[in-house]
Amino acid sequence: MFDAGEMTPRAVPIPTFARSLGSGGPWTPPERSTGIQNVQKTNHLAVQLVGAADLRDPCDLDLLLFFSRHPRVVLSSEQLTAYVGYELAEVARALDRLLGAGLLKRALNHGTPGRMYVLEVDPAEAWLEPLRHVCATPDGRNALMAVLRERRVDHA
Amino acid sequence: MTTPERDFVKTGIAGLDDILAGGLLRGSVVLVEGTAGTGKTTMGVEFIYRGAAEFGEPGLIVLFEVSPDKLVRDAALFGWDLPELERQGRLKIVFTTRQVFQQEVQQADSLLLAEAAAIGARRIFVDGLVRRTPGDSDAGRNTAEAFHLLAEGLQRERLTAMLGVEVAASEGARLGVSLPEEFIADTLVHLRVEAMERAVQRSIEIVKARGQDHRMGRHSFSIVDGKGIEVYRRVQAPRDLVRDEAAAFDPSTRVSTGVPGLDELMGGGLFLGSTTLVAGITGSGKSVMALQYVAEGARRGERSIMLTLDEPRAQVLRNAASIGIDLKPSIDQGLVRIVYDRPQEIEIDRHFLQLEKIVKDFQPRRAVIDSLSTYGSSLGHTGRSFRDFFHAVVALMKENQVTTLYNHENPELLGMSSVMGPYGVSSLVDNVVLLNWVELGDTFRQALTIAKMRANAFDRTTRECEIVNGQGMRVLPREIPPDATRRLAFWEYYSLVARSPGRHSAQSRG
Repeated sequence: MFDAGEMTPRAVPIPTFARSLGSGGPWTPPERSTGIQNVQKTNHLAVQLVGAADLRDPCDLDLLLFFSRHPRVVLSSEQLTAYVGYELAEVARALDRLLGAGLLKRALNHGTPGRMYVLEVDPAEAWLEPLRHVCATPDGRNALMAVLRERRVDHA
Repeated sequence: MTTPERDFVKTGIAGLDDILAGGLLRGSVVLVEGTAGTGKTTMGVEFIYRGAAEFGEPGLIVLFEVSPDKLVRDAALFGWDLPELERQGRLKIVFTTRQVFQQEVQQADSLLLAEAAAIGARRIFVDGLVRRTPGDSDAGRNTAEAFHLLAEGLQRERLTAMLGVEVAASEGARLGVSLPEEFIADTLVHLRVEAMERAVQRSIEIVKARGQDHRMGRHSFSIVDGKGIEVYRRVQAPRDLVRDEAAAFDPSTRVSTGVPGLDELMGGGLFLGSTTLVAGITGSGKSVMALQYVAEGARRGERSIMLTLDEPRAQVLRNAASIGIDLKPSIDQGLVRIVYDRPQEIEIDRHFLQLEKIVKDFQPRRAVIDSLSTYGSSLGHTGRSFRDFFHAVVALMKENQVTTLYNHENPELLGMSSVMGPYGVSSLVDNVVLLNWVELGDTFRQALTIAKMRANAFDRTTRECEIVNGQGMRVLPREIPPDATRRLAFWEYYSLVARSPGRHSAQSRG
């Protein structure tokens, strides 16, 4: 059985997820759920993805998704906060976690408020693409958020 | 004193380097202005892509509004694999805001410019700057200084910069050079989507290009799936001088028309490289004459092109078969090429460029344009479009010594009071052949008159001609043997073309 703690964030390729779902075939994005089976499958995948990315709370996820769409940005902290829609403190904590996990690299220029953030995950090879696909549907995103809220409670 | 050699940066965008007379000067700051949807982003991304993929010049793309993953997705439609270039270290895409960007590039240790330097970038495209309207409170000194600092920052890294500038729709029609940044920039490009009747057409204009020549005026362009941008030089734009100098026919070489009896009227045929207008109402034999002209070329092993707006290729082949001409083998042998373009909403710059390419590649000896009247309908007879297009085609054909027939449908059923009606270009042609119906008794009979042949003595009599199924057109001799037909020969009449033919009296016939 898949254990999130056994895997580092960048070590889970797409086919691993496919195998863990028991399909045996290539990984395909989950469709909008129409039954209990699909909901269970999506929830199962959500748990795996959250573990693989080592996400702790919803802000981690949204920040990661933002950087997956914008892999190289130069923004001030306030602008970044506005883009992801969380409080500055939450974003700062999430940034620290992503930076600590090696998912993100940051450079700053003391003369300007802009900081450069570069996503360090290759979307073609890692778990990021499945994560994006899951979040592209309301059910998938809700499943991930539910898992993250549980984790937040656990960590609290 | 010798002129210093200039370092041009090829954009790699099809046709753009031609109207820029070679490309952009290295280190230029280029403003590409246009309203939403005019193609600024596509042009900028292609500039960077071509540089990185084809010219060994890494590039940086800076975005303010479009998210990078959408840009990557859209670029893939043109076959531009941006992620691969990023993996190879030849491209970086940076998302930021206008405010941060302005502050950043003015810094000596700018993060953005450090990113550019890290990959040895030679090009930068910044998408999403906004054009202020003249008179705005911040359109004065501060804007000029801010932009000047931006330009300085880019020049410090010797980057050739393309800046996409969004223009409000209300300002789109009034674009000019009025803002400080437009004066400061080295090159100013305007992109437009212009209404043409109920259609639209994209246009590009190089408003200024400091320190370099360029083709002025509004040229058209398309955004083509799988390719990118294709710029078509304005057909009216002056061509190289060599084309005008070569615009003469060769009076020592004759080209047979393939119509029995017609070469004799012309003193042996058309001159090589000459321009012949064949005018007549529908059904008078223009297309038949054209097909025989092409078939005669194939028979002699000469290449011909037939450019038709009126009839698709299959219909041309069927028409040819009806007069006993099988063009298929000649097409298969590479002697004949039929090119059909739909006349609806024709983009004349693109169309001319294609014709130019065909002439250069195929190198025909003969050409048929069928018909000028359809071009006229598409381009309109007011303004200069039609005349300029025709002038350009004539010059192209003459430069390449292609002997060309231009069919023109004259609207008059009987006789002819004007060669080309409102399309007054007959002065540009060397030869004019009139095909007419004349009504004699209860019969419409076909008449052919050579109205003009430059530098040539020719037979000016109006002659009867006929088109026979399976055989085609032939010009009948002036004297028809009395036992060959019960009809009187044309020479027995006067005023055939003037619509009121009468018969000579026995006394006047002598």
